[in-house]
Amino acid sequence: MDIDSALKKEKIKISLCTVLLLAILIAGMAASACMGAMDISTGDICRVIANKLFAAGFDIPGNVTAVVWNIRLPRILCAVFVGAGLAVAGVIFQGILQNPLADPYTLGISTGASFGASLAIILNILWGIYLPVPLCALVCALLTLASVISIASVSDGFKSSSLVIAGIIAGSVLSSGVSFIKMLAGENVSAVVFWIMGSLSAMGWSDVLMAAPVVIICTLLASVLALRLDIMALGEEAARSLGVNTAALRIVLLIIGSVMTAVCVCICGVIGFVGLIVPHLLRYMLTAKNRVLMPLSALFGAVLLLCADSAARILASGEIPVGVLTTLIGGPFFIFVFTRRERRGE
Amino acid sequence: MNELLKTENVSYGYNGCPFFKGLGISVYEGELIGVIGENGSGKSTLIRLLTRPAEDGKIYYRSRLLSSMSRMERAREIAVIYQNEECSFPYTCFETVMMGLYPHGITKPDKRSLDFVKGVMELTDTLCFASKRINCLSGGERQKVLLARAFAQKPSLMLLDEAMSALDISARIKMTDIIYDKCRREGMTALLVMHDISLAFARCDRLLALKQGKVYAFDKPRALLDKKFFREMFNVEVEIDSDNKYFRIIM
Repeated sequence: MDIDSALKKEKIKISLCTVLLLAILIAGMAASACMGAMDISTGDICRVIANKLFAAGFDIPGNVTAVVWNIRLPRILCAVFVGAGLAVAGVIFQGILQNPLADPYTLGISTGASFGASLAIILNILWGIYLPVPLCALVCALLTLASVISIASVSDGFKSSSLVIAGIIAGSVLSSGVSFIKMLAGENVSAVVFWIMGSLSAMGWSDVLMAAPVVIICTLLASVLALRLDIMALGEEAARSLGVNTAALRIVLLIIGSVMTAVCVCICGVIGFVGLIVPHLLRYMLTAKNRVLMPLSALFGAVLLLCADSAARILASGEIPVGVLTTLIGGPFFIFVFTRRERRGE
Repeated sequence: MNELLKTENVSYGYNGCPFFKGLGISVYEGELIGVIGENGSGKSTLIRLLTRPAEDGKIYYRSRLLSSMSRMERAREIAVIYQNEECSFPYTCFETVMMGLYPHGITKPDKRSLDFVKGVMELTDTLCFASKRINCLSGGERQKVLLARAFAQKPSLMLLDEAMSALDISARIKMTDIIYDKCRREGMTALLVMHDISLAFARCDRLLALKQGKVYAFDKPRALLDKKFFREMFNVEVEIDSDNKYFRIIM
Protein backbone atom coordinates (compact mmCIF):
# COMPACT_ATOMS: atom_id res chain seq x y z
CA MET A 1 0.00 0.00 0.00
CA ASP A 2 1.41 3.43 -0.88
CA ILE A 3 1.90 6.12 1.75
CA ASP A 4 -0.94 8.37 0.61
CA SER A 5 -3.60 5.69 0.79
CA ALA A 6 -2.14 4.33 4.06
CA LEU A 7 -2.33 7.82 5.59
CA LYS A 8 -5.86 8.28 4.31
CA LYS A 9 -6.91 4.89 5.67
CA GLU A 10 -5.35 5.68 9.05
CA LYS A 11 -7.18 9.02 9.18
CA ILE A 12 -10.53 7.33 8.47
CA LYS A 13 -9.84 4.64 11.09
CA ILE A 14 -8.98 7.24 13.73
CA SER A 15 -12.04 9.40 12.92
CA LEU A 16 -14.35 6.39 13.05
CA CYS A 17 -12.87 5.24 16.33
CA THR A 18 -13.22 8.72 17.85
CA VAL A 19 -16.86 9.01 16.80
CA LEU A 20 -17.61 5.49 18.04
CA LEU A 21 -15.98 6.07 21.42
CA LEU A 22 -17.75 9.42 21.83
CA ALA A 23 -21.10 7.80 21.01
CA ILE A 24 -20.46 4.96 23.46
CA LEU A 25 -19.39 7.43 26.14
CA ILE A 26 -22.51 9.57 25.78
CA ALA A 27 -24.81 6.54 25.63
CA GLY A 28 -22.96 4.96 28.57
CA MET A 29 -23.30 8.11 30.67
CA ALA A 30 -27.02 8.29 29.93
CA ALA A 31 -27.55 4.59 30.66
CA SER A 32 -25.51 4.75 33.84
CA ALA A 33 -27.48 7.75 35.07
CA CYS A 34 -30.76 5.87 34.60
CA MET A 35 -29.44 2.74 36.27
CA GLY A 36 -29.91 2.05 39.97
CA ALA A 37 -32.36 1.23 42.74
CA MET A 38 -34.56 4.15 41.76
CA ASP A 39 -35.96 4.00 38.24
CA ILE A 40 -35.29 7.35 36.57
CA SER A 41 -35.88 8.12 32.89
CA THR A 42 -33.39 9.87 30.63
CA GLY A 43 -35.87 12.72 30.27
CA ASP A 44 -35.95 13.27 34.04
CA ILE A 45 -32.17 13.25 34.15
CA CYS A 46 -32.02 15.93 31.44
CA ARG A 47 -34.62 17.96 33.35
CA VAL A 48 -32.65 17.72 36.60
CA ILE A 49 -29.52 18.91 34.80
CA ALA A 50 -31.45 21.74 33.12
CA ASN A 51 -32.93 22.76 36.47
CA LYS A 52 -29.54 22.81 38.16
CA LEU A 53 -27.56 24.47 35.39
CA PHE A 54 -30.07 26.85 33.83
CA ALA A 55 -32.77 27.09 36.52
CA ALA A 56 -35.24 25.74 33.91
CA GLY A 57 -37.99 25.21 36.46
CA PHE A 58 -39.11 21.68 35.50
CA ASP A 59 -41.26 19.96 38.06
CA ILE A 60 -39.11 17.12 39.40
CA PRO A 61 -39.51 15.44 42.82
CA GLY A 62 -36.81 16.38 45.33
CA ASN A 63 -35.65 12.80 45.89
CA VAL A 64 -35.12 12.28 42.13
CA THR A 65 -33.11 15.50 41.95
CA ALA A 66 -31.05 14.44 44.95
CA VAL A 67 -30.28 10.98 43.55
CA VAL A 68 -29.37 12.26 40.09
CA TRP A 69 -27.49 15.41 41.08
CA ASN A 70 -25.82 14.35 44.31
CA ILE A 71 -25.18 10.64 43.75
CA ARG A 72 -25.26 9.46 40.15
CA LEU A 73 -23.85 12.39 38.19
CA PRO A 74 -20.76 12.92 40.39
CA ARG A 75 -20.07 9.20 40.27
CA ILE A 76 -20.41 9.09 36.46
CA LEU A 77 -18.24 12.15 35.95
CA CYS A 78 -15.63 10.80 38.36
CA ALA A 79 -15.54 7.53 36.40
CA VAL A 80 -15.11 9.50 33.17
CA PHE A 81 -12.33 11.77 34.42
CA VAL A 82 -10.50 9.15 36.46
CA GLY A 83 -10.66 6.67 33.55
CA ALA A 84 -9.40 9.33 31.15
CA GLY A 85 -6.67 10.42 33.57
CA LEU A 86 -5.37 6.92 34.25
CA ALA A 87 -5.33 6.08 30.53
CA VAL A 88 -3.43 9.24 29.57
CA ALA A 89 -1.05 8.69 32.50
CA GLY A 90 -0.51 5.18 31.09
CA VAL A 91 0.47 6.64 27.71
CA ILE A 92 2.88 9.02 29.44
CA PHE A 93 4.51 6.40 31.67
CA GLN A 94 4.87 3.87 28.84
CA GLY A 95 6.48 6.60 26.76
CA ILE A 96 8.93 7.97 29.30
CA LEU A 97 9.92 4.51 30.53
CA GLN A 98 10.12 3.29 26.90
CA ASN A 99 8.21 0.23 27.97
CA PRO A 100 4.81 -0.70 26.53
CA LEU A 101 4.06 -2.74 29.66
CA ALA A 102 4.52 0.12 32.14
CA ASP A 103 1.49 1.72 33.77
CA PRO A 104 0.73 4.70 36.03
CA TYR A 105 1.55 2.56 39.07
CA THR A 106 4.99 1.34 37.94
CA LEU A 107 6.81 4.09 39.81
CA GLY A 108 5.10 3.48 43.13
CA ILE A 109 2.99 6.65 43.05
CA SER A 110 -0.18 4.66 43.81
CA THR A 111 1.54 2.85 46.68
CA GLY A 112 2.49 6.27 48.06
CA ALA A 113 -1.15 7.36 47.82
CA SER A 114 -2.30 4.10 49.45
CA PHE A 115 0.18 4.64 52.28
CA GLY A 116 -1.08 8.20 52.85
CA ALA A 117 -4.71 7.11 52.75
CA SER A 118 -4.12 4.13 55.06
CA LEU A 119 -2.26 6.33 57.52
CA ALA A 120 -5.06 8.90 57.52
CA ILE A 121 -7.76 6.23 57.93
CA ILE A 122 -6.00 4.53 60.81
CA LEU A 123 -5.14 7.79 62.61
CA ASN A 124 -8.74 8.94 62.25
CA ILE A 125 -9.95 5.69 63.80
CA LEU A 126 -7.33 5.42 66.56
CA TRP A 127 -7.18 9.08 67.63
CA GLY A 128 -10.69 10.12 66.68
CA ILE A 129 -9.43 13.04 64.59
CA TYR A 130 -10.44 14.07 61.08
CA LEU A 131 -7.61 13.90 58.61
CA PRO A 132 -8.93 14.25 55.03
CA VAL A 133 -8.08 10.90 53.40
CA PRO A 134 -7.79 12.12 49.76
CA LEU A 135 -5.55 15.00 50.80
CA CYS A 136 -3.22 12.71 52.77
CA ALA A 137 -3.15 10.31 49.83
CA LEU A 138 -2.26 13.15 47.46
CA VAL A 139 0.48 14.54 49.71
CA CYS A 140 2.06 11.09 50.16
CA ALA A 141 1.82 10.36 46.41
CA LEU A 142 3.62 13.63 45.63
CA LEU A 143 6.25 12.95 48.30
CA THR A 144 6.79 9.53 46.69
CA LEU A 145 7.22 11.24 43.32
CA ALA A 146 9.79 13.63 44.82
CA SER A 147 11.76 10.76 46.35
CA VAL A 148 11.64 8.74 43.09
CA ILE A 149 12.96 11.77 41.19
CA SER A 150 15.73 12.40 43.70
CA ILE A 151 16.84 8.73 43.67
CA ALA A 152 16.73 8.54 39.86
CA SER A 153 18.50 11.86 39.32
CA VAL A 154 21.71 10.34 40.68
CA SER A 155 22.15 8.68 37.26
CA ASP A 156 23.58 10.58 34.30
CA GLY A 157 20.77 11.92 32.15
CA PHE A 158 17.87 10.75 34.34
CA LYS A 159 17.54 7.35 32.65
CA SER A 160 14.34 5.32 32.43
CA SER A 161 16.01 2.28 34.03
CA SER A 162 16.99 4.40 37.06
CA LEU A 163 13.41 5.65 37.31
CA VAL A 164 12.04 2.11 37.33
CA ILE A 165 14.55 1.02 39.99
CA ALA A 166 13.77 4.11 42.11
CA GLY A 167 10.04 3.36 41.69
CA ILE A 168 10.48 -0.24 42.75
CA ILE A 169 12.48 0.80 45.84
CA ALA A 170 9.95 3.47 46.87
CA GLY A 171 7.02 1.15 46.11
CA SER A 172 8.46 -1.72 48.16
CA VAL A 173 9.18 0.43 51.21
CA LEU A 174 5.72 2.03 51.09
CA SER A 175 4.03 -1.31 50.48
CA SER A 176 5.62 -2.61 53.68
CA GLY A 177 4.39 0.55 55.37
CA VAL A 178 0.82 -0.18 54.21
CA SER A 179 1.12 -3.75 55.53
CA PHE A 180 2.34 -2.40 58.86
CA ILE A 181 -0.61 0.00 59.05
CA LYS A 182 -2.99 -2.88 58.25
CA MET A 183 -1.47 -4.83 61.11
CA LEU A 184 -1.92 -1.87 63.46
CA ALA A 185 -5.52 -1.44 62.32
CA GLY A 186 -6.55 -4.76 63.84
CA GLU A 187 -10.29 -5.25 63.39
CA ASN A 188 -10.58 -1.91 61.54
CA VAL A 189 -8.44 -3.25 58.70
CA SER A 190 -11.47 -3.47 56.37
CA ALA A 191 -11.61 0.34 56.06
CA VAL A 192 -8.03 0.42 54.76
CA VAL A 193 -8.49 -2.61 52.50
CA PHE A 194 -11.69 -1.22 50.98
CA TRP A 195 -10.03 2.10 50.17
CA ILE A 196 -7.04 0.39 48.53
CA MET A 197 -9.31 -1.83 46.40
CA GLY A 198 -10.56 1.23 44.58
CA SER A 199 -14.17 2.24 44.34
CA LEU A 200 -16.25 5.02 42.84
CA SER A 201 -19.05 4.80 45.39
CA ALA A 202 -19.77 7.90 47.47
CA MET A 203 -18.23 10.31 44.97
CA GLY A 204 -19.29 13.91 45.35
CA TRP A 205 -18.97 17.11 43.37
CA SER A 206 -15.82 18.00 45.29
CA ASP A 207 -14.20 14.88 43.79
CA VAL A 208 -15.35 15.87 40.30
CA LEU A 209 -14.01 19.38 40.79
CA MET A 210 -10.69 17.94 41.90
CA ALA A 211 -10.35 15.40 39.06
CA ALA A 212 -11.70 17.37 36.09
CA PRO A 213 -9.32 20.34 35.98
CA VAL A 214 -6.25 18.24 36.80
CA VAL A 215 -7.04 15.63 34.14
CA ILE A 216 -7.94 18.21 31.48
CA ILE A 217 -4.91 20.45 32.11
CA CYS A 218 -2.46 17.55 32.39
CA THR A 219 -3.81 15.93 29.20
CA LEU A 220 -3.46 19.20 27.30
CA LEU A 221 0.08 19.76 28.60
CA ALA A 222 1.08 16.21 27.73
CA SER A 223 -0.40 16.58 24.23
CA VAL A 224 1.87 19.56 23.61
CA LEU A 225 4.86 17.30 24.30
CA ALA A 226 3.46 14.34 22.35
CA LEU A 227 5.81 14.52 19.36
CA ARG A 228 8.88 14.73 21.60
CA LEU A 229 7.60 11.67 23.44
CA ASP A 230 7.30 9.89 20.08
CA ILE A 231 10.92 10.70 19.30
CA MET A 232 12.01 9.49 22.71
CA ALA A 233 10.64 6.06 21.77
CA LEU A 234 13.52 5.79 19.30
CA GLY A 235 15.87 5.55 22.26
CA GLU A 236 17.62 7.95 24.58
CA GLU A 237 20.63 8.72 22.39
CA ALA A 238 18.69 8.83 19.11
CA ALA A 239 16.22 11.27 20.63
CA ARG A 240 19.04 13.48 21.89
CA SER A 241 20.63 13.46 18.43
CA LEU A 242 17.29 14.66 17.02
CA GLY A 243 17.34 17.66 19.36
CA VAL A 244 15.14 16.43 22.19
CA ASN A 245 16.22 17.27 25.73
CA THR A 246 15.34 13.81 27.04
CA ALA A 247 16.16 14.45 30.70
CA ALA A 248 14.00 17.58 30.89
CA LEU A 249 11.19 16.00 28.87
CA ARG A 250 11.20 12.93 31.09
CA ILE A 251 11.01 14.95 34.29
CA VAL A 252 8.24 17.24 33.02
CA LEU A 253 6.15 14.33 31.76
CA LEU A 254 6.87 12.37 34.91
CA ILE A 255 5.45 15.21 36.99
CA ILE A 256 2.40 15.58 34.70
CA GLY A 257 1.69 11.82 34.71
CA SER A 258 2.29 11.45 38.43
CA VAL A 259 0.11 14.37 39.43
CA MET A 260 -2.70 12.97 37.29
CA THR A 261 -2.23 9.48 38.78
CA ALA A 262 -1.98 10.82 42.33
CA VAL A 263 -5.21 12.80 41.99
CA CYS A 264 -7.05 9.83 40.45
CA VAL A 265 -5.81 7.44 43.14
CA CYS A 266 -6.53 9.80 46.01
CA ILE A 267 -10.12 10.22 44.80
CA CYS A 268 -11.07 6.60 44.34
CA GLY A 269 -8.23 4.30 45.38
CA VAL A 270 -6.17 2.01 43.19
CA ILE A 271 -7.94 1.08 39.97
CA GLY A 272 -5.72 -1.25 38.03
CA PHE A 273 -5.28 -2.10 34.36
CA VAL A 274 -7.00 0.95 32.80
CA GLY A 275 -3.64 2.70 32.41
CA LEU A 276 -2.03 -0.43 31.01
CA ILE A 277 -4.67 -1.87 28.68
CA VAL A 278 -6.04 1.28 27.06
CA PRO A 279 -2.82 2.72 25.57
CA HIS A 280 -1.56 -0.75 24.74
CA LEU A 281 -4.68 -1.73 22.78
CA LEU A 282 -5.01 1.56 20.94
CA ARG A 283 -1.33 1.62 20.05
CA TYR A 284 -1.53 -1.74 18.33
CA MET A 285 -5.03 -1.33 16.88
CA LEU A 286 -4.73 2.24 15.61
CA THR A 287 -1.57 4.26 15.96
CA ALA A 288 1.48 4.76 18.15
CA LYS A 289 1.55 8.52 17.54
CA ASN A 290 1.09 10.11 20.97
CA ARG A 291 -0.62 13.19 19.52
CA VAL A 292 -3.53 10.95 18.52
CA LEU A 293 -3.05 8.30 21.18
CA MET A 294 -3.47 10.68 24.14
CA PRO A 295 -6.95 12.05 23.36
CA LEU A 296 -8.14 8.66 22.12
CA SER A 297 -6.84 6.98 25.28
CA ALA A 298 -8.63 9.58 27.36
CA LEU A 299 -11.90 8.71 25.58
CA PHE A 300 -11.35 4.96 25.74
CA GLY A 301 -10.25 5.11 29.39
CA ALA A 302 -13.38 7.08 30.26
CA VAL A 303 -15.60 4.57 28.44
CA LEU A 304 -13.85 1.59 30.03
CA LEU A 305 -14.07 2.83 33.62
CA LEU A 306 -17.64 4.02 33.17
CA CYS A 307 -18.68 0.60 31.83
CA ALA A 308 -16.71 -1.21 34.55
CA ASP A 309 -18.28 0.94 37.26
CA SER A 310 -21.76 0.40 35.85
CA ALA A 311 -21.10 -3.33 35.76
CA ALA A 312 -19.77 -3.22 39.33
CA ARG A 313 -23.05 -1.61 40.36
CA ILE A 314 -25.34 -4.17 38.73
CA LEU A 315 -23.35 -7.41 38.92
CA ALA A 316 -23.74 -7.97 42.66
CA SER A 317 -26.53 -7.20 45.08
CA GLY A 318 -24.11 -5.10 47.09
CA GLU A 319 -21.31 -3.56 45.09
CA ILE A 320 -18.01 -4.92 43.79
CA PRO A 321 -15.18 -2.37 44.11
CA VAL A 322 -14.52 -1.26 40.55
CA GLY A 323 -10.74 -1.68 41.05
CA VAL A 324 -11.27 -5.37 41.73
CA LEU A 325 -13.46 -5.72 38.63
CA THR A 326 -11.05 -3.95 36.28
CA THR A 327 -8.20 -6.16 37.49
CA LEU A 328 -10.30 -9.34 37.38
CA ILE A 329 -11.45 -8.73 33.81
CA GLY A 330 -8.47 -6.69 32.63
CA GLY A 331 -5.83 -9.24 33.65
CA PRO A 332 -7.06 -12.21 31.60
CA PHE A 333 -8.05 -9.92 28.73
CA PHE A 334 -4.58 -8.43 28.67
CA ILE A 335 -3.02 -11.92 28.67
CA PHE A 336 -5.26 -12.80 25.69
CA VAL A 337 -4.29 -9.68 23.74
CA PHE A 338 -0.61 -10.01 24.60
CA THR A 339 -0.29 -13.71 23.69
CA ARG A 340 -2.28 -13.20 20.47
CA ARG A 341 -0.03 -10.34 19.43
CA GLU A 342 3.12 -12.26 20.31
CA ARG A 343 1.91 -15.30 18.30
CA ARG A 344 1.30 -13.09 15.30
CA GLY A 345 4.78 -11.68 15.76
CA GLU A 346 3.69 -8.05 16.01
CA MET B 1 38.62 21.91 1.59
CA ASN B 2 37.12 23.58 4.65
CA GLU B 3 37.55 22.05 8.04
CA LEU B 4 34.19 20.81 9.35
CA LEU B 5 35.04 19.11 12.60
CA LYS B 6 38.05 19.35 14.80
CA THR B 7 38.84 17.84 18.17
CA GLU B 8 41.52 19.42 20.31
CA ASN B 9 43.02 17.55 23.22
CA VAL B 10 39.78 15.70 23.96
CA SER B 11 39.95 13.20 26.79
CA TYR B 12 37.28 10.85 28.00
CA GLY B 13 37.12 8.05 30.50
CA TYR B 14 34.69 5.59 32.07
CA ASN B 15 34.33 5.52 35.86
CA GLY B 16 37.50 7.50 36.38
CA CYS B 17 39.64 5.34 34.04
CA PRO B 18 40.97 7.40 31.11
CA PHE B 19 40.16 5.94 27.70
CA PHE B 20 40.67 8.63 25.08
CA LYS B 21 43.51 10.93 26.03
CA GLY B 22 44.38 14.09 24.15
CA LEU B 23 42.45 13.12 21.00
CA GLY B 24 43.05 15.51 18.13
CA ILE B 25 41.59 14.92 14.68
CA SER B 26 40.36 17.11 11.85
CA VAL B 27 37.64 16.19 9.39
CA TYR B 28 37.01 18.19 6.21
CA GLU B 29 33.83 18.96 4.28
CA GLY B 30 32.84 16.33 1.76
CA GLU B 31 35.01 13.59 3.24
CA LEU B 32 33.88 10.03 3.73
CA ILE B 33 35.80 8.65 6.65
CA GLY B 34 35.82 5.05 7.78
CA VAL B 35 36.43 4.41 11.46
CA ILE B 36 38.00 1.00 11.90
CA GLY B 37 39.48 -0.94 14.76
CA GLU B 38 39.11 -3.98 16.95
CA ASN B 39 36.17 -4.46 19.32
CA GLY B 40 36.60 -2.15 22.27
CA SER B 41 39.06 0.12 20.48
CA GLY B 42 36.83 3.16 21.09
CA LYS B 43 34.92 3.54 17.80
CA SER B 44 31.47 3.91 19.40
CA THR B 45 32.90 6.06 22.18
CA LEU B 46 34.34 8.37 19.52
CA ILE B 47 30.94 8.69 17.83
CA ARG B 48 29.33 9.51 21.19
CA LEU B 49 32.08 12.03 21.95
CA LEU B 50 31.48 13.85 18.69
CA THR B 51 27.77 14.31 19.36
CA ARG B 52 27.96 16.13 22.65
CA PRO B 53 29.95 18.98 24.16
CA ALA B 54 33.33 17.69 25.33
CA GLU B 55 33.85 17.41 29.07
CA ASP B 56 37.61 17.66 28.69
CA GLY B 57 39.13 19.34 25.64
CA LYS B 58 37.47 21.17 22.78
CA ILE B 59 35.38 20.07 19.81
CA TYR B 60 34.88 22.59 17.02
CA TYR B 61 32.20 22.37 14.36
CA ARG B 62 32.77 24.80 11.47
CA SER B 63 35.26 26.63 13.73
CA ARG B 64 32.58 27.02 16.39
CA LEU B 65 32.67 25.27 19.73
CA LEU B 66 30.21 22.39 19.66
CA SER B 67 29.25 23.28 23.23
CA SER B 68 28.09 26.72 22.08
CA MET B 69 25.57 25.19 19.67
CA SER B 70 22.04 24.54 20.86
CA ARG B 71 20.64 21.03 20.86
CA MET B 72 18.44 21.85 17.85
CA GLU B 73 21.29 23.47 15.94
CA ARG B 74 23.37 20.34 16.44
CA ALA B 75 20.45 18.16 15.35
CA ARG B 76 20.05 20.17 12.14
CA GLU B 77 23.73 19.71 11.33
CA ILE B 78 24.63 16.27 12.64
CA ALA B 79 22.67 13.05 12.11
CA VAL B 80 23.66 10.05 14.18
CA ILE B 81 22.73 6.39 14.07
CA TYR B 82 23.89 4.52 17.13
CA GLN B 83 24.71 0.85 17.33
CA ASN B 84 21.68 -1.37 18.07
CA GLU B 85 19.01 1.32 18.03
CA GLU B 86 15.71 -0.30 19.01
CA CYS B 87 12.16 0.98 19.17
CA SER B 88 9.69 -0.74 21.51
CA PHE B 89 6.63 0.92 20.02
CA PRO B 90 4.81 0.12 16.77
CA TYR B 91 5.55 3.29 14.78
CA THR B 92 5.30 2.85 11.05
CA CYS B 93 8.47 3.21 8.99
CA PHE B 94 7.03 6.39 7.47
CA GLU B 95 6.45 7.89 10.93
CA THR B 96 9.98 6.96 11.96
CA VAL B 97 11.50 8.64 8.91
CA MET B 98 9.28 11.71 9.44
CA MET B 99 10.85 12.13 12.88
CA GLY B 100 14.06 13.02 11.07
CA LEU B 101 12.40 16.30 10.06
CA TYR B 102 11.73 17.30 13.68
CA PRO B 103 14.92 19.41 14.01
CA HIS B 104 13.71 21.44 11.01
CA GLY B 105 10.44 22.26 12.76
CA ILE B 106 8.31 19.98 10.58
CA THR B 107 5.97 18.12 12.87
CA LYS B 108 3.14 17.11 10.53
CA PRO B 109 3.45 15.78 6.99
CA ASP B 110 2.48 18.46 4.43
CA LYS B 111 2.76 17.95 0.66
CA ARG B 112 6.38 19.14 0.48
CA SER B 113 7.66 17.11 3.41
CA LEU B 114 5.66 14.09 2.26
CA ASP B 115 7.33 14.22 -1.15
CA PHE B 116 10.73 14.69 0.46
CA VAL B 117 10.26 11.73 2.81
CA LYS B 118 8.97 9.60 -0.07
CA GLY B 119 12.10 10.50 -2.02
CA VAL B 120 14.38 9.56 0.86
CA MET B 121 12.53 6.28 1.37
CA GLU B 122 12.72 5.48 -2.32
CA LEU B 123 16.44 6.15 -2.26
CA THR B 124 16.93 3.75 0.65
CA ASP B 125 14.54 1.08 -0.69
CA THR B 126 12.17 1.49 2.23
CA LEU B 127 9.18 2.97 0.43
CA CYS B 128 7.78 -0.50 -0.27
CA PHE B 129 7.28 -1.11 3.47
CA ALA B 130 6.56 2.48 4.51
CA SER B 131 3.33 1.59 6.30
CA LYS B 132 4.78 -1.45 8.08
CA ARG B 133 5.57 -1.20 11.77
CA ILE B 134 9.22 -0.76 12.59
CA ASN B 135 9.20 -3.37 15.35
CA CYS B 136 8.01 -6.00 12.85
CA LEU B 137 10.94 -5.54 10.47
CA SER B 138 14.08 -7.60 10.06
CA GLY B 139 17.35 -6.17 11.37
CA GLY B 140 18.48 -5.14 7.89
CA GLU B 141 15.16 -3.50 6.98
CA ARG B 142 15.22 -1.61 10.28
CA GLN B 143 18.71 -0.33 9.55
CA LYS B 144 17.55 0.91 6.15
CA VAL B 145 14.71 2.83 7.83
CA LEU B 146 17.15 4.37 10.33
CA LEU B 147 19.39 5.41 7.44
CA ALA B 148 16.37 6.97 5.74
CA ARG B 149 15.63 8.86 8.98
CA ALA B 150 19.22 10.12 9.07
CA PHE B 151 19.00 11.28 5.43
CA ALA B 152 15.66 12.99 6.20
CA GLN B 153 17.51 15.04 8.80
CA LYS B 154 19.38 16.71 5.89
CA PRO B 155 22.64 16.71 7.84
CA SER B 156 25.98 18.20 6.94
CA LEU B 157 27.69 15.55 9.02
CA MET B 158 26.58 11.96 9.36
CA LEU B 159 27.91 9.75 12.14
CA LEU B 160 27.03 6.11 11.67
CA ASP B 161 28.00 3.53 14.24
CA GLU B 162 27.79 0.16 12.50
CA ALA B 163 24.55 1.34 10.93
CA MET B 164 24.91 -1.11 8.06
CA SER B 165 26.05 -4.19 9.96
CA ALA B 166 22.81 -6.11 9.33
CA LEU B 167 22.50 -5.24 5.65
CA ASP B 168 23.18 -7.79 2.95
CA ILE B 169 26.22 -7.15 0.81
CA SER B 170 24.40 -5.48 -2.09
CA ALA B 171 22.38 -3.22 0.21
CA ARG B 172 25.54 -2.36 2.13
CA ILE B 173 27.33 -1.36 -1.05
CA LYS B 174 24.30 0.58 -2.25
CA MET B 175 23.96 2.52 1.02
CA THR B 176 27.68 3.26 1.14
CA ASP B 177 27.47 4.48 -2.46
CA ILE B 178 24.55 6.77 -1.60
CA ILE B 179 26.59 8.26 1.24
CA TYR B 180 29.63 8.50 -1.07
CA ASP B 181 27.52 10.36 -3.66
CA LYS B 182 26.14 12.73 -1.05
CA CYS B 183 29.68 13.50 0.09
CA ARG B 184 30.81 14.14 -3.48
CA ARG B 185 27.80 16.03 -4.82
CA GLU B 186 26.25 17.74 -1.80
CA GLY B 187 29.37 18.24 0.31
CA MET B 188 28.05 16.10 3.15
CA THR B 189 30.65 14.60 5.46
CA ALA B 190 30.34 11.13 6.94
CA LEU B 191 32.11 9.12 9.61
CA LEU B 192 31.25 5.46 9.29
CA VAL B 193 32.20 2.96 11.95
CA MET B 194 32.63 -0.23 9.96
CA HIS B 195 33.96 -3.74 10.23
CA ASP B 196 33.80 -4.39 6.50
CA ILE B 197 37.45 -3.72 5.75
CA SER B 198 37.13 -4.26 1.98
CA LEU B 199 34.36 -1.68 1.74
CA ALA B 200 36.22 0.72 4.02
CA PHE B 201 39.35 0.54 1.89
CA ALA B 202 37.40 0.70 -1.37
CA ARG B 203 35.07 3.65 -0.66
CA CYS B 204 36.45 5.85 2.11
CA ASP B 205 38.57 8.92 1.50
CA ARG B 206 40.44 8.43 4.75
CA LEU B 207 40.51 5.76 7.39
CA LEU B 208 40.67 6.49 11.09
CA ALA B 209 42.21 3.43 12.71
CA LEU B 210 41.72 3.26 16.47
CA LYS B 211 43.57 0.98 18.83
CA GLN B 212 42.91 0.94 22.58
CA GLY B 213 41.53 4.47 22.59
CA LYS B 214 44.35 5.95 20.57
CA VAL B 215 44.55 7.04 16.96
CA TYR B 216 46.80 4.41 15.41
CA ALA B 217 46.57 5.91 11.93
CA PHE B 218 44.46 8.49 10.11
CA ASP B 219 45.30 8.45 6.45
CA LYS B 220 44.21 7.58 2.92
CA PRO B 221 43.43 3.87 2.41
CA ARG B 222 46.31 3.46 -0.03
CA ALA B 223 48.75 4.73 2.58
CA LEU B 224 47.59 2.08 5.04
CA LEU B 225 47.71 -0.75 2.59
CA ASP B 226 50.52 -2.84 4.01
CA LYS B 227 50.87 -6.09 5.91
CA LYS B 228 52.26 -4.45 9.03
CA PHE B 229 49.12 -2.31 9.43
CA PHE B 230 46.84 -5.35 9.40
CA ARG B 231 49.13 -7.32 11.70
CA GLU B 232 49.34 -4.56 14.29
CA MET B 233 45.75 -3.36 14.02
CA PHE B 234 43.83 -6.62 13.76
CA ASN B 235 46.41 -9.28 14.48
CA VAL B 236 45.81 -10.94 11.08
CA GLU B 237 48.18 -11.87 8.31
CA VAL B 238 47.15 -10.66 4.86
CA GLU B 239 48.41 -10.73 1.33
CA ILE B 240 48.03 -7.49 -0.61
CA ASP B 241 47.76 -7.58 -4.33
CA SER B 242 47.67 -4.10 -5.84
CA ASP B 243 48.51 -2.01 -8.88
CA ASN B 244 47.94 1.70 -9.52
CA LYS B 245 44.18 1.39 -9.87
CA TYR B 246 42.97 -1.69 -8.00
CA PHE B 247 43.96 -3.53 -4.87
CA ARG B 248 42.99 -6.80 -3.26
CA ILE B 249 43.39 -7.78 0.37
CA ILE B 250 43.55 -11.54 0.86
CA MET B 251 43.06 -12.65 4.44
